Amino acid sequence: MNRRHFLKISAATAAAMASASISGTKGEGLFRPATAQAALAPETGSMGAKEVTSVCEMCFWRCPIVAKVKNGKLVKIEGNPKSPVNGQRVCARGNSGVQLLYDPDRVKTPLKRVGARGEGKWAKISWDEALDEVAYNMQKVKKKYGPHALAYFDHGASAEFMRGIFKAMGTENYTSEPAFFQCVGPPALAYLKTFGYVTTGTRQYNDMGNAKAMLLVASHIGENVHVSHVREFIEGLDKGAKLVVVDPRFSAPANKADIYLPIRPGTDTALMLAWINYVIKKNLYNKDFVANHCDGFDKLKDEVSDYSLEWAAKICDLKLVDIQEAIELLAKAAPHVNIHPGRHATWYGKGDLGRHQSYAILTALFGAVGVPGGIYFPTPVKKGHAECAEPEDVETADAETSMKDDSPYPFSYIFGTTTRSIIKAILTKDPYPVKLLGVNGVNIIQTIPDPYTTMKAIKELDFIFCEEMMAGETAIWSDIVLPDTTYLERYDGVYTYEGLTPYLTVRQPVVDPMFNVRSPYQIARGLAERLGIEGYSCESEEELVNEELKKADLTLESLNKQGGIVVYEGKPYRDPKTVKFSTESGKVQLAVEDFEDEDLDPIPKYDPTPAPPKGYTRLVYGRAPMHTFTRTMNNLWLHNEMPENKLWLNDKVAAKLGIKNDEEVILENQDGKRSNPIKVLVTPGIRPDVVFMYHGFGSKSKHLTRAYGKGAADGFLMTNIVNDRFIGADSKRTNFVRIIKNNRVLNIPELAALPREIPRYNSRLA
Amino acid sequence: MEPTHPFYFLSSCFDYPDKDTPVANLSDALVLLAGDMGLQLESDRKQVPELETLQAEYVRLFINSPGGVAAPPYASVYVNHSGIMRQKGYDEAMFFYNKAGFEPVESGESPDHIMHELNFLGLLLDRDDMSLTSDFLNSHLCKWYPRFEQRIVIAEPLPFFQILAQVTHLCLKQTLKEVMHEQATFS
Repeated sequence: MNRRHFLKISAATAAAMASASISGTKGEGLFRPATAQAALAPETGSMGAKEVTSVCEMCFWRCPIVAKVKNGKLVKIEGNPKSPVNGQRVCARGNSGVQLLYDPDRVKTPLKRVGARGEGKWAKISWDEALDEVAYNMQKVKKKYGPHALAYFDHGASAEFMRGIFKAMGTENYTSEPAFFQCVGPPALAYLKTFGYVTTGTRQYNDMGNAKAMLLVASHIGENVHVSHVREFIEGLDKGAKLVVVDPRFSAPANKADIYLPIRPGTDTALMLAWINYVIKKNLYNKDFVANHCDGFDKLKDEVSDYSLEWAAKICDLKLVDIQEAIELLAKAAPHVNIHPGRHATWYGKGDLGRHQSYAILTALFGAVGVPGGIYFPTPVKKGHAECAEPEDVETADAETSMKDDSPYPFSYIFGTTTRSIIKAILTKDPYPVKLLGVNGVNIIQTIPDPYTTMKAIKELDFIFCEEMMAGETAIWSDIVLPDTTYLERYDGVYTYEGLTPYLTVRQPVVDPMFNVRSPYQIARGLAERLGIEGYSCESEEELVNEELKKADLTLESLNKQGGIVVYEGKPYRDPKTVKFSTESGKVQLAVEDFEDEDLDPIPKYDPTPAPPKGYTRLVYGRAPMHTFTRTMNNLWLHNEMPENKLWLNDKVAAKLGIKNDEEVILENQDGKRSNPIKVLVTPGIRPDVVFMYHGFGSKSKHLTRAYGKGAADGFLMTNIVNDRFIGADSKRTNFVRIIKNNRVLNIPELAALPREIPRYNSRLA
Repeated sequence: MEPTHPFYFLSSCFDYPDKDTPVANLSDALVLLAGDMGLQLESDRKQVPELETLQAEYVRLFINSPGGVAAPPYASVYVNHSGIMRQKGYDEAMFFYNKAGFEPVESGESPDHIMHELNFLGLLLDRDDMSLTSDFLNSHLCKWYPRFEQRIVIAEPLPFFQILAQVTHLCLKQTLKEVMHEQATFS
C-alpha cells in the first residue's frame, strides 16, 4: 500500500512520538467499525422524535414532562399532556432543561481539590479514587470524633440515597436540609399543629381555583412560578375571585389585586391579629365550624381583643378604610376563601411561626377547610417502598448532648438538626465537634444567610465533599466533587401527587448520561460497599422503581404504556358536619397547647420587628419567574431572559438621592458588608422604607461562566440573623442597607414616619 | 512503521494526562514536531511540566476552571451559536464517523471532543480516503478548531498546551492544503 506523507515529520520527531508510546495503537481505540447504519442527515426540530415521559426537576414542583429525543439527543421538553396539573405546559425553566443537560460548564468527572479550599483548583480522578477518598475520610472522622461529627446538607430528589449513608454511619445529623430551615419550616409547623397535617410543604393543599376570594401576604405567585400553582391562581381569578394582596412591593399578583395593601415590612402579624379580632367581634366567623371543630376559641378571643384595626392601620402604615374593606371582602366569600398559607417564610425570625399560625387561625374562623376554595385534604396515592434502595438495620447512636433532640428550639427535632446549629458546632465544637460535611444539591454559600460564617466554618472541617451537577460555590469549597447525573439522565423513584387531581408518575432517563457522571443511587451504593454498610441491594434503578410500583399494581412497562402517568380520583373536600382533624382532640387548635408546654405563645402575639436604623433601609428579596434559587443563573436560555438582578428603589427616595434608573450602585449593610455592583430599578412600586432584589444572582463562582459577578447576592448582605423560637429557622429580612454611588455613601432618607411602638435596629455602625 | 501523520499523537496530547502518561516524552515529541512545522520556540517554553501541574491545567482549560471552562474541547460548543453540547457540531462529527463506517467507543467523553476528531482524521488518512478527509476538514474540523484554539490562547495556558494548540493548527492547515492539492491533481 502506498502510504502518502502529508506532513514532513523528521525521523527524530517520529522516534520521539514512538517513545511516547502513544502513536498509532491508542488512536484506533477511540473508534470501532459501525454496528448500525444511523441516519446520515437527521431532520432538524422535534418532528419524528421519540417521546419519553419523565418528571421535571428544574424546580421542586416537579411537573410531569415529555422529552422529545432524536438520535439519542434531547431536542425539546414539553408538559405531559396526560398530566392534570400542567398538561402540555412547562415554564421557561422546564424548557431550559435541554440547556442544563448540554451545558459545557457541568461537572464532568470526579474532581479532587489540589489548591486551597475556595480556590477551585482540581485534578481529575477516577470514580474509585473519589469514592475511596470519601469513604476513608468518613471512617476516619467517625473513628476520631464519633458518628455525630458527620453532617449532611441536602436538597432535592438526588439527595435521598446519600442521606441513607449518613444515617447508616450513625450520625443524628442526616436530615439538616437548609432549604427547610431557610424556607418552609415555620408554616409547616404552624399548620401541622393547627390542623394536624402539613398543608404547605413541598406540596400545597390550597384550592385557589375554586376560591371566591384570596389573600396573599407577600406571596408573589406569578414571579414564584410553579405551573399548576399559577394555573389554579389564574383559574380562580378567571372565575371572578376577589384578591387582596399585602406586600410592601407592587408584585405581579398585586397588579391583579382588588385591594392592594402596601404594608410596612415586619408588621404583617399585627394586621392579621387585628383582622382576627375584627372577625370575632363583628361575628364574621363561621360559628358552626368553630363550635364543632375548633378548640381554644375563647382563649383566642381574649388574646386578640386588644388588636384593633385603628391600631393596625398605624403600625402597618395602611389606611383604616382599606384594611376594613379587605377583611370584609374576605369574610363575605367565606367559607370559599383562600388565606394562602405562604411558602418561603423565614423573614424576621422570632415572629415567623406566629404569622403563619395567624393565617391558619383566620382560615379556621372562616371554616375554609375541606371546602372548595379553602385549604383541602390530600388524597393519599398508593406507592410502595423499595427497601432494596436503603441501608439495612440502621441505628443512630445517641449523643451525650444531642444537637437534634436537646435543641434550644423545641420543635426543630421533628424536622432534623437545624442548619445554624451545625454551623455553630463546626466553629465552637459545642455540643460536640462536627468535622465532615456532605453537601448535595444545595449552594450552601448562597442559600444559608451569613456566608462569611459558613466559609469560616468550612475552613475548620477535616473534610467536605459534594455531589453536584454544576460547579457552583459549594464545589469550589469541596475536597472531592462527585458529578451527579441531571434529572434527564436518571431514575429517581416514583412520584405521587396528593392534590386536587392525584396522580402517580415516575422520573426516568430520557437520554444516556453525558460525560463520566453517576446517578445518586449508584454513588450511594458505591459508598455503602466501601463503608461496609449492608443494604442498597437493588442492582439497578429500574429494580428500585418496579419495587415502588408494585403496591400500585404497576410496572415501569405498564406505566409507560399508559403515557407515564396514572391519574386518580381526588377526595379533597369533607362534609363540614363530620370532618375530623389529625390533632390529639380531632379538632383545629386555635390555641396550640404544645407550644404553651414549651413556654411559647399558644396564640400568636405581635412582637415588633426592629425597623431600619437611621440612614438605612430594609433589604428584602424574592423569586424570579425564570430562575430557581441560585441554580439556574448559568443556564444560557434563562440567563438570556434575566441575566442579572436589579435593585428596586422607591422613586421618591431615588429622587432625593439623585439616583436614576439603571445607574449602578453598591450596597453596604449594617455590618459594613458590601455587595457587587447592581443596577437600580427606580419605581413607585415599592415602599420608601424597603429595597428589593431577586434572589440567586451575584454568583461568586468563577466556574459559572455566565452567572459570575452578574448582579448582587442578597445572602452576602445578611449578617444579622434572628432565629425563630420554635424550630430555629434563620431570618432573612432582618438586614439593612445603604447605598454607595461613585464611592460616596448615601444615607437613605426616611419618608414614612415610624410609630413609637416599633423600635429601631441597634447597629454599631448606624 | 514510520508515521505518516501526527494526528494520533496530537489526539493523545489532548487526552487527560494520568499517572501512566509519559509526560517528558510527550513534551519532547511535541517540541520536535513544533520544530518540524517551522515553529520557533524559546527555550523556556520547552521545559517539561510536572504531571500534577499539567493535570490541574488540563482541568482548568478543558473541564472546570476558575474563570469558567476556558476552552470546552467540543465541536458543538463552537459550531452552534448557543454554545452548548450535542448540537450541530456534534451532528456533523457523527455524520462523518458514520459515513466512514466508524462509531466512537464509550470513553466518558462526547464524540465531538477534539481528541476523537483528531483521531478520526488519523484513521481517514491511514485509509487514504481523500474525498472524505477533504470534506471533514473543510466543512467541519477546520471550521471550529480556530475558535477553540483562540479560547485556549486567551486563557494564557502553560506552554505545553499553547504549543499543542499552535502545532495542531499548523498540522491541520498543512494537511488540508495537501489534501486539496491531491484532490485537484487526481480529480
